[in-house]
Amino acid sequence: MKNTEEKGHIHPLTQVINQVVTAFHGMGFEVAEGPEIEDEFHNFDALNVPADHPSRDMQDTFWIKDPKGALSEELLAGRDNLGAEPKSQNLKPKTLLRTQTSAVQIRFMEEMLKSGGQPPLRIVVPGKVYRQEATDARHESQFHQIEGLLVDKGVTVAHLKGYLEQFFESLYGADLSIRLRPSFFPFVEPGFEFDLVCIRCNDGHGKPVKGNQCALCSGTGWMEMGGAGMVHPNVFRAVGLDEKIWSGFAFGIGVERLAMTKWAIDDIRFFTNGDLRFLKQF
Amino acid sequence: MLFSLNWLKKYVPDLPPPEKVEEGIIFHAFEVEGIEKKGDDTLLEIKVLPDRAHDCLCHEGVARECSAIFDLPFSLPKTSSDMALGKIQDLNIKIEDGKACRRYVGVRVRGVKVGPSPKWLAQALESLGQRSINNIVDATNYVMFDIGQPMHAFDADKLEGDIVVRRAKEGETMTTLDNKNLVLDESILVIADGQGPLALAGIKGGNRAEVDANTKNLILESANFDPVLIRRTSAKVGVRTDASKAFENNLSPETALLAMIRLVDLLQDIAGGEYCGVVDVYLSPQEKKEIKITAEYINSRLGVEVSASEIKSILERLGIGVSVTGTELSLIIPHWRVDLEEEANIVEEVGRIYGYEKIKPELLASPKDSPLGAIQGKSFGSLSEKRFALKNKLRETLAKEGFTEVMGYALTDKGEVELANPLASDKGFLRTNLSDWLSERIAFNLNYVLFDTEPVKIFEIGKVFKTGFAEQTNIAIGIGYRKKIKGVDIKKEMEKVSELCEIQSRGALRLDLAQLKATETTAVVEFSLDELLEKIKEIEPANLSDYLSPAFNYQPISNYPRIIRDVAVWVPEATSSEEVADLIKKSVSELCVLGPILFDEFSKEGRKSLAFRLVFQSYDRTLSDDEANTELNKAINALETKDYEVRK
Repeated sequence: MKNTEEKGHIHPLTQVINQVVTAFHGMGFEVAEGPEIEDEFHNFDALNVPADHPSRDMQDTFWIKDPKGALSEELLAGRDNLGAEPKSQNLKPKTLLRTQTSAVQIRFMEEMLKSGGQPPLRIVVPGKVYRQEATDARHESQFHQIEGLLVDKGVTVAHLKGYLEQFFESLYGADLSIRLRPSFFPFVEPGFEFDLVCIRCNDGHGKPVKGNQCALCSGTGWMEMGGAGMVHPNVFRAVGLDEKIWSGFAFGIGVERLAMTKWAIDDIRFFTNGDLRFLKQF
Repeated sequence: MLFSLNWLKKYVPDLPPPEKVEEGIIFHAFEVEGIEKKGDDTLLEIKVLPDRAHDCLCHEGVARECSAIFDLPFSLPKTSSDMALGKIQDLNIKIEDGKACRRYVGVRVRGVKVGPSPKWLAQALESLGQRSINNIVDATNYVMFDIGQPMHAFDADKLEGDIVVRRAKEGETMTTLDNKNLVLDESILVIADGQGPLALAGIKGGNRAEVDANTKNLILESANFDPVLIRRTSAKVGVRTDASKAFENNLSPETALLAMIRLVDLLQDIAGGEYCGVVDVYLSPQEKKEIKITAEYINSRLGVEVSASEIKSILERLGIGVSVTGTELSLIIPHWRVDLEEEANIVEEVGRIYGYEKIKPELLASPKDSPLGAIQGKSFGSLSEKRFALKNKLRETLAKEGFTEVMGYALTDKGEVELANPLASDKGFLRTNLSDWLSERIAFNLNYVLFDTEPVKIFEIGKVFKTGFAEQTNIAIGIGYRKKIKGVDIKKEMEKVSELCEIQSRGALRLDLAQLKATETTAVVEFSLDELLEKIKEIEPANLSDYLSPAFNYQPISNYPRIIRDVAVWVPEATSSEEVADLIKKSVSELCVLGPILFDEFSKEGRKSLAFRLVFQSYDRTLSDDEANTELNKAINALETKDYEVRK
């Protein structure tokens, strides 16, 4: 006979994703997914990250080798003369591993319009993304993001704050507040980084308490959570929505970061090592 | 980039204390990654992102931000303007490609003295982590950090004839200042003289006309190049410099002349010389931009009420010209703000300077208006929702059966879709299946089971990738034992899982056991969820609440080997095994990382025999047998104190 545990365990990242999605379901958001192998248009151009722009450098990209091998060179050669379009309009766009779940914003809106739909829309996009970055305790070349997109008439920065706050309150079951700092993501304007009041050391009414010895927020009272902003007019233009009628907000949250915060995990690589000594703790 | 507070004060003399400056920049402009006191100065490491890299990777730009944030007066340094320059232009500049080189400002200087920089200049550069080289080079660098314009100085005596900005000829060669030999082609723009290329335009100077200790006469360059051209050339020749990065960010060509005036002023002071008239060839003048907007529009995007007069004040502090006609604001965008194109950009400018903290959170009035509000009633509004739900239903079913979810790497060493730029040779492909890694992880985890009868049961749900960039969502489920166990039929166990999936899903989820790969000790099955998804009409939502883990601090895994010890004991029939386990647990130290786990129990002649397994392990060293035995003896002593008979 044996005396071992009978019940299995759900991966901690799945747990976090499910909690986030459940919270957003409650606010009328629908799950949308998209491919991990993406093209340049959905991952970059339509998100207002033009080719040959320094904003491309913000994300190191894994490019996919064309089976015939010649595609990238051909494309580069076509662009060789300043300002000239690729020699052939028939060239397929370059293929890559998506660097951000934001690519699904574009796919969702395209498909919605193609099938005759119109905003308002609210989607939440959990998924795996890839960056060509060396791996260490804090960085992985593959990780998970959850993206949110809300498009409607008259959407404001105040709404972005409202929905983010409601989300975190439903996730942690406490009175919490968020704050915005100016930042830059090409597909939003204005763009922000958003911080959540420290879930461990706040005053119980959603206000930060500064200067204590909290390991979670290093005494700042705030925890960095993700990026957000108001949908850039160029994104609406790329999918064919009238940016004068519609406005919206988008945000992205790092799933690993949430999980590492929740369980004080100090090495991101545990999530992908398939080690039951780790996974059975959750 | 590093910024010196003293340097910023040349523009905004009344700056608040460093911590206030830091805070103001963080909440109204940029992330500040570090702050450090250095002598009587404070250095700020500011992360300027690509949208403002064209005007804020320099002290003038950040000073202007500070002026807007703190509503403090901003003043440009006094320059002698073109008074310093002689009337006679003694320089011929020809631009062959006016789109590639938008502007070229040149000045000939005679009779300079090359030497060390004055102390203030060397210190100013050193505080930003730059090495002082000589007064001429330092002056060009200083102007770059001051106003953001890359500058260059050529030794005029090493030049032949006029300056020509042209495409390189196929096969032309050049050696850079750091002695890199380059073979050029027509895609590359060069600064050349009669003899050939002098510099890679906007990227790097060549060594032929390098300024050295004997240099007497200079040609100064302040130019502006097409950002895309510089970016491509820099990538192509593999030379990236502060100058190339600056030009990639699309500098305003208006800055070129302003920077030249500052350079001339500075050089006159520190290197002397006679300055000829400025030669300014400006073939692609920057267009003037005007944006019309209303306060109502700005407020309708921010969700706050900012008065028209406050909006006007904020924008003027940023250097934007504002004229009001009725409710309309006509904005004249200053040349350095090449990023401001349309209303949304103005909304951001007003919002960030006004302060996002003043915007109160709000929810949309009627979320039910959203057609998607309906999805809460009908569980599956879309294919994605359905897939998401199916994955969770499978997780619930499998977890109930003791399977634990794992997640592996999509990048592996073989496959059908290959990366063009892998990080490592064993991560050059996308995986075609989940089973290979799952089987490997079963073997890995079997190293750590405590009993031969204890299976490793794991599953993964994830994407696999096939030829033609086809990706599909698969599930792989596996069971493994350390050795063949009497009475355990691994195929039967898998069949049981299949049946359960089928029942739980009302017939929708059926594992394809034809694909089962099984040995006597291991079985793995994998199939596509996408195919399953098509067959499923409806599926009950999963309930994973039993599997949600509350917040706690996870226990790291020790890298040192573990030692296993068993202890068996006779106890009275009425004594519970929990009571005995508790006694053992309390008797041993924290070196006991697992157990006591009850693994055998039987009764005989009014007594009960209990057998427990304990695992000893340290987080900082390899335990010796002696240490494990000492721990075990503590347990034995505790048991014997209770008059239990320990079986030896």
